[in-house]
Amino acid sequence: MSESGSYVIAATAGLARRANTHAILRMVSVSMLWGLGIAAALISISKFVAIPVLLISIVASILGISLLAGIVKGILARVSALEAAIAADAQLGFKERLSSAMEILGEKHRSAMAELQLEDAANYARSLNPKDICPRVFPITAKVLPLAALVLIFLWWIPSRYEVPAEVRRAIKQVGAEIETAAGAVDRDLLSDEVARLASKMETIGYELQDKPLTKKEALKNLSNLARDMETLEMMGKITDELKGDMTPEKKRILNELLEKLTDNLKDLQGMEEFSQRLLEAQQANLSIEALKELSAALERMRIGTSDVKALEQMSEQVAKGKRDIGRVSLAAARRMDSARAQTEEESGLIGGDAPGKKSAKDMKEVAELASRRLPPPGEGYDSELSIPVSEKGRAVPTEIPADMGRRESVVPYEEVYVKYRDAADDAITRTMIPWIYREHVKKYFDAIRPKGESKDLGGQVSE
Amino acid sequence: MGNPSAHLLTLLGDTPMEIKERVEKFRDNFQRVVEEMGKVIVGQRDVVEGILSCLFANGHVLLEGLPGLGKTLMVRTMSDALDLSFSRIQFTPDLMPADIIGTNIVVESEPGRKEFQFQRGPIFANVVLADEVNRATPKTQSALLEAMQEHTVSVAGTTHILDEPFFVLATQNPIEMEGTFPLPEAQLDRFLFKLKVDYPAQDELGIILDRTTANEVPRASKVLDAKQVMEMRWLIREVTVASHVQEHAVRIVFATRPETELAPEIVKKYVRYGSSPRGAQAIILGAKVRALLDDRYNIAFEDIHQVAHPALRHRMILNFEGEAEGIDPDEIIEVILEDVFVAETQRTGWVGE
Repeated sequence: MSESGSYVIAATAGLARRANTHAILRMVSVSMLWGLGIAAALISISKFVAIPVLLISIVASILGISLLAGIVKGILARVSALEAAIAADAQLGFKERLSSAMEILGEKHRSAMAELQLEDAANYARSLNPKDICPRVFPITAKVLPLAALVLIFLWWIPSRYEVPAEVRRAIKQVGAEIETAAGAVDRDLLSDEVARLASKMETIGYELQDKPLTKKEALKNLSNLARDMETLEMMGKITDELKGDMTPEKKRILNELLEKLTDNLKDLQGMEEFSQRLLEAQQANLSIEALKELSAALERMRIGTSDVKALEQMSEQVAKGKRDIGRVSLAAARRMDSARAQTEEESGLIGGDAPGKKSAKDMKEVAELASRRLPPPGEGYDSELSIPVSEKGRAVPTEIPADMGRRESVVPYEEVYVKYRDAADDAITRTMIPWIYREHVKKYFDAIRPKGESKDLGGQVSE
Repeated sequence: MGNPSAHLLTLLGDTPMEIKERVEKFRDNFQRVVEEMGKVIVGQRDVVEGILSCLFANGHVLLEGLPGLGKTLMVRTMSDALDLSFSRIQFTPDLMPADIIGTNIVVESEPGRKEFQFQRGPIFANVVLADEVNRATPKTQSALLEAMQEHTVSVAGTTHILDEPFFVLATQNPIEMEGTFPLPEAQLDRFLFKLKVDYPAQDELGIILDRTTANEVPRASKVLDAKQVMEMRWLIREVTVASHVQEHAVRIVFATRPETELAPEIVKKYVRYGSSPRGAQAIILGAKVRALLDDRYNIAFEDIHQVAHPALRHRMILNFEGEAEGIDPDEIIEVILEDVFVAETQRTGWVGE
């Protein structure tokens, strides 16, 4: 190749290299900026709204796709030496000298005029500085990229409004693992369809607790709903027992309460349409013998037997334990964070195993049994001092009161316990130790647990 | 005069240095001819350069201009400067083909012996000015046009070769339409360029008066001869054309056709027929002349844009709407050049941004 040709090729190849490097960097940086923008928007949204999938995997995918798209676009945008020569001719006013020379170089036999053209082009190629056409190898977008990445990292570390503390997150995952294991250990071949379905649901919930970034409220709600479904089936098993033998007025009353509770719970359980219908007929027929027979027959068809009840008890116990664990850890975390975000009333209600406002049939039965007993007269029974530790900020410190292992009834009468707690709450409210936004919750709580026959507005007079 | 083309074969063996000298000489000679003609012709430099470009590109020119603008003088001056034989044919409605190409006449060669002898017509010249060609009948026009295409004349079965260089400049009077026979579109296509001769400027008119109303009337001196003209014609065809530049010319020609997707809206609206491939040939040949004059050995986009107007303005046939609205083909060509050039720059304009 002639010297002129070498000059032309070297100049245009150098320009093409610089332009292609610039092009790839530009395409990649623009694509990455788009990706960072989308990721930043997603992270910002996640600070206010829970996103039900793992955020970091989404962000990583977005950035990965952006990078790949940028590389592909950069490769596709590469120019050849000829195209670089055309661009140089256009931008530097070489009047197509370089591009014509590039084409001539491809010819095997060149005329004398063509050789002259090469020489002429070489003179211009010597004066070609790639920086005149491509001043920057690193586009501006590439320089902005680190700043954008820093912004993204900053957004990531901003606490979210509904942030789940790390220890609560761990507790939820641990509970999820235990629940999933417990549900997996249940032999579903021995169970009725409904209970087997519930076991599968329990396993699914256990998995979701581990996999999805749920808040503690969502986790507790899922577990509460699961517990309620288990109680429903458990109740159905017990109703089957209650329906056996003579129907006494007391039994009828208890049965009525159980059936009323069951009617509400059955709304959310699948595959119970026939049973719900029989239940409604039994209630409408005022628990007539025929209606109860039909109900019993419906229960028999569902085949919820002893093994089902046992399995339900085991699963319920595991779920209840899980709720207690989450509640304990979250309360401890909330105390440490000194935050008013702990929704004590709801969590306490959920931890207790009940959906807000609802009590389980078991509790109702126990309450009913307690109510039927007479309290020991003053002086008899066992008096004990009940002290309630209170923190500096006026909050009651959760305290375990060990029961007397040999007795079957509480050491301290319920009414006394209630009164002392009520007085402490009244004192705390009047001394503005409880934030105003939570006073209504505290009031509702004490209203819900007050003994029958006593009513008092916190801060008001006792009325009996 | 002999055939000046015979020695062109020797130019093929020239070295690049020799070619370079010839190119420099080309530029010098061109400028000398222009300057020499400038002694007689005031202004009209674009037209003069266009005529010379056409001559060296081995084409013919159609001159359009009002009477009295110096068209005939321009052509005659050019033939003086190039030492070429010149003839002027005034086309009239009664002009016959034989009046142009010649005819056989009976002559007495020996006592008592008579034979036919071909009497050459005025077309047998190097430079032929066909004045007001649109006044002659189509039959007479075709005789001229056939000679332009073939560079030969056939009379009574005998073909006579015209001397080279053979260059025709035809003129058309744009204001006289009565009793005229406008050249058909197929015949217009044979002219490489169509040049418009315009009125001189005010100061130019003053100079014209000075030169033409005194006793001394300037005349052009010989600058080149036929042999040199042929050499320059050959040299032009050696100029290189890059494929993307040629593609640019092709796209321009395609854009003149309303049925193509390259055609802009104005073409689709006002043009009935676009340019034939002769238009692309005219553009390339004219651009080669421009390149050499600009001290280059390759064609550039600006060369193409400079010659696009004379090369295409007579090759686009307007539809009724275009003619009714008085659309100038030059306007359409301008739009086409902008569109095609913008598309070209977008291809690689991003490099370095």
